[in-house]
Amino acid sequence: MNDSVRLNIESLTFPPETADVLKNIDLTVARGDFIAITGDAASGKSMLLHSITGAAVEFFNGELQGTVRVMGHDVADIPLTRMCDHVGYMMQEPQNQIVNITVADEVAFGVANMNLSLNEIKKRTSASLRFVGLDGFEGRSTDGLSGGQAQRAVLAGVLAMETPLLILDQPTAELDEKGKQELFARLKYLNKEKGVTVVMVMDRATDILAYSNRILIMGGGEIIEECSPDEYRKRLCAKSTPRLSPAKKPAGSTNIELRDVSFTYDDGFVGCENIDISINEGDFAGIVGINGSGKTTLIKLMEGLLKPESGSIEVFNTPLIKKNLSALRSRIGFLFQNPDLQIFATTVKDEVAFTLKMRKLPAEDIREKVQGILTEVGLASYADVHPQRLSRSQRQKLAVASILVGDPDIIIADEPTSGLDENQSILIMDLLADFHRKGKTVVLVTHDLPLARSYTTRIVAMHEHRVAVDIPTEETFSHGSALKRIGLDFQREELANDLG
Amino acid sequence: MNKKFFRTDTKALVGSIILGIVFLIASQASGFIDNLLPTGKAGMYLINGTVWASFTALIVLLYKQPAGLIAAEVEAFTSVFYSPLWVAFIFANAVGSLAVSFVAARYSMEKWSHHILAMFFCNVLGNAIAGVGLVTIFQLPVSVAIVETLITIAVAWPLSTIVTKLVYDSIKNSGLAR
Amino acid sequence: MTWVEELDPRTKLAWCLCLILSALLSNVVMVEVGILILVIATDCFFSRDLKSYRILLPVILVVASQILIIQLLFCREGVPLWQWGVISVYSGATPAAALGISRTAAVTFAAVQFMTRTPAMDVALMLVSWRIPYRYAMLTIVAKRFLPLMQREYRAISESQSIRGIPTDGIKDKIKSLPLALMPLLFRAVRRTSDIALSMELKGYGRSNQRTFEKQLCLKNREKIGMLLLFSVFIAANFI
Repeated sequence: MNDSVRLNIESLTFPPETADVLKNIDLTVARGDFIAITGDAASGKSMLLHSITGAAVEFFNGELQGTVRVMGHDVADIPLTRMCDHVGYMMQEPQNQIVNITVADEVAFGVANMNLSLNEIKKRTSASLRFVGLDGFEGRSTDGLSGGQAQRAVLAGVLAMETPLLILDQPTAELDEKGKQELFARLKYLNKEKGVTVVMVMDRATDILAYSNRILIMGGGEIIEECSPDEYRKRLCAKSTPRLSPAKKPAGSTNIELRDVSFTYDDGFVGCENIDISINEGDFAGIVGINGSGKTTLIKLMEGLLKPESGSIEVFNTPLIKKNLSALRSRIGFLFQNPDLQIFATTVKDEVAFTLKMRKLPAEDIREKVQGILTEVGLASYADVHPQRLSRSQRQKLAVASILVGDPDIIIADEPTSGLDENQSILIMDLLADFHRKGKTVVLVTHDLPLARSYTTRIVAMHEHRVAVDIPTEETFSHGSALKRIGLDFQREELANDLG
Repeated sequence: MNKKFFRTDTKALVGSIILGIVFLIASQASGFIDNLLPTGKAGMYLINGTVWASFTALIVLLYKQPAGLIAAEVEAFTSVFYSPLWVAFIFANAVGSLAVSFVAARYSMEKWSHHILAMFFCNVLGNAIAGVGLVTIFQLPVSVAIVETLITIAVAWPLSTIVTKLVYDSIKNSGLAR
Repeated sequence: MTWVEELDPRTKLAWCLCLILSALLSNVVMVEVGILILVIATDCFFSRDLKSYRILLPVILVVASQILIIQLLFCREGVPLWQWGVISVYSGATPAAALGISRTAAVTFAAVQFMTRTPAMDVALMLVSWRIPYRYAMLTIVAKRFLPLMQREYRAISESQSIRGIPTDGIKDKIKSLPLALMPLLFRAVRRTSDIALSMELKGYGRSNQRTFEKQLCLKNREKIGMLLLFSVFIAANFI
């Protein structure tokens, strides 16, 4: 018996809805496979994983026509709480998978539930922590872990259960490039050296080509194609989608100006030091830098959330001080990493209309504007739908629509594509590019260097809380060595992105 | 009755804790606003009372019992950091939660009348116990405590009914609690 | 590990309950103040960390002012000291307010001492020792883990709504903006609940009635004797 998983699904539905979430799936996963699954939003990728874990039926109350066998057992016969004998599962947000207070307790959580002896638990915990590079972190609080460390702690907990099959749902969505590569290297070792079967839904199709042996492409709840990584790579090169090139415009008047701005947090952590930067009308500025370089502090200073301890900030030639804040913010749109931090309404149209209602516009104007914006961002058919029913990328589009409807002069976007796959990211970035093409200003904070190069007109690279490099985007390669020194290798990531 | 009253799956248990924390945060935020109002300065937490009743009911409607009781006690015990009435909350929250459970087990909670009834019992019983706390802990005169309790019920009952029904319907429509 | 951290949580609970019940049963301001001093002194002596009480101070001050105002306005015990229209201040108001304020502080400080000095895992183990199934007992750990995370999230939501231009300056604006901050938190909490529960079940949470815990609770003899003495003093002080 060489099959890890055997899926034969006629249909998977979630009553009362009648539409098939999965259909006509016939898939065999052999032991030692490293399978990458890709596809559009709502193509059924995650539910395919959950049909393997058994959660589709047992946890989400789905109705499944067909059979799913894992390690020779019918999944229908295995309670969800016993699935950890066969399958290790890891998902996108590490913070939602950590339920213990110390790292050691978290890693031991699964094995302790399996009721193993204390000695065995300790042995497995320390081995797993060593493997993910977190030895010495046993007593550390899980609350203080960075995104990458948290993801590694979750992986350690899954590995400690020593399951023959690993199922991962966009595990790198919240990691920076370094964190991604470290995770992939560990998965590759487990797959090649330990024979662990890996099935993974990817947030970026190109990221994992070097590690996988099979690529599945999903659409409309079906596996529409299976190919080898080489075939997939060739296809990518052939159809590499031309992105919208940034509009080149002469620099206009200054929109945001920071003069010798420094900020230190209460705990003594330096946020920004001696920042001098002007964002001009028509700029599409990409603020890049490794974790902890000061990007978030810089953007919070621009938003007026933090008050500089020295220096001055002017927005539209007006000092950014408390009494001017609300007037200035009405001209700026803020797009957050996580759209769920702002969505509160019960319909899509109400969410978009909120800004206009605050401005006390006539109801007819509001209705027209909302309709127009929803059409522009491609959400017109969802106007009466509850926002929480939308996919993550649709919710991010809704957040963009809520901003655009207010007709701002600047959009400040903080990692707006985090957690989105490649196609979804392009949809969001295209909306920002359209906004920029109207002569407006965009300030974009991002980890995604190829994305920054494709869309921005200017790169502002932060390093150790200062602006280290501030250049037109077309000069990124000629400043390659300076950028590489501060951990930003545009060339390598561009290559990886294009060729896998 | 059993199925409509109890639910002991992991999602319900975790939901009780996570929504219990939201309950706590909402109580803190509303308590802060109440402290700025003249009614709050006189010991009548009208907005807090509305938020309290709404969350007590919402958690029961979403996750049933014992989730309602667990969330109620999470809020009561952690409220030690923001309200000296936490001892009274231990009992008030539990009784309020059970009151909603009994009504929710009997009715579909689809109609306004079901919510009006549930929130009546929740507000009356919960605030009565909080009133005992006002007398024993704050040393308020009994007559003052009775008047304050009656005013709180009169304000919080209709408001919390509206809030609970609208938010519960919204969560159901969102598909998140399926 | 400090001496206090090594104590069995049941010992700490017994201490906390004795103090709270004494505070509730007593009607003497000096007893309430004595309990308050005892809590602070024990914390000073064993851990020298009074940060949690500093957080409580503003809350106690607000409540104290409320109690004082209410007693001055409504207390009708003793003799009238001052009158202006329908408002009269009686001589019984100040002692009643003093008792209310000191009792409130004593009860709160004693509870905070237990909550800050007892790790969540110890509370879970204590509940397990009382034969509460571990699926329920371990929820205390989940609560401790997610409380700071969700508080930060609430702050982030409030910040994001504020930079969207939602006014929060006056009381009216604060009331209006409350649902705008709470609704995203609520939606996110329901979504998060599903993720956490699924992740826990797929790690075998609840697969059997038993689970291995790294630590075992063991009530030492000296703790048993200490608890016996504590209950004796409690009964003698309150009932004899």
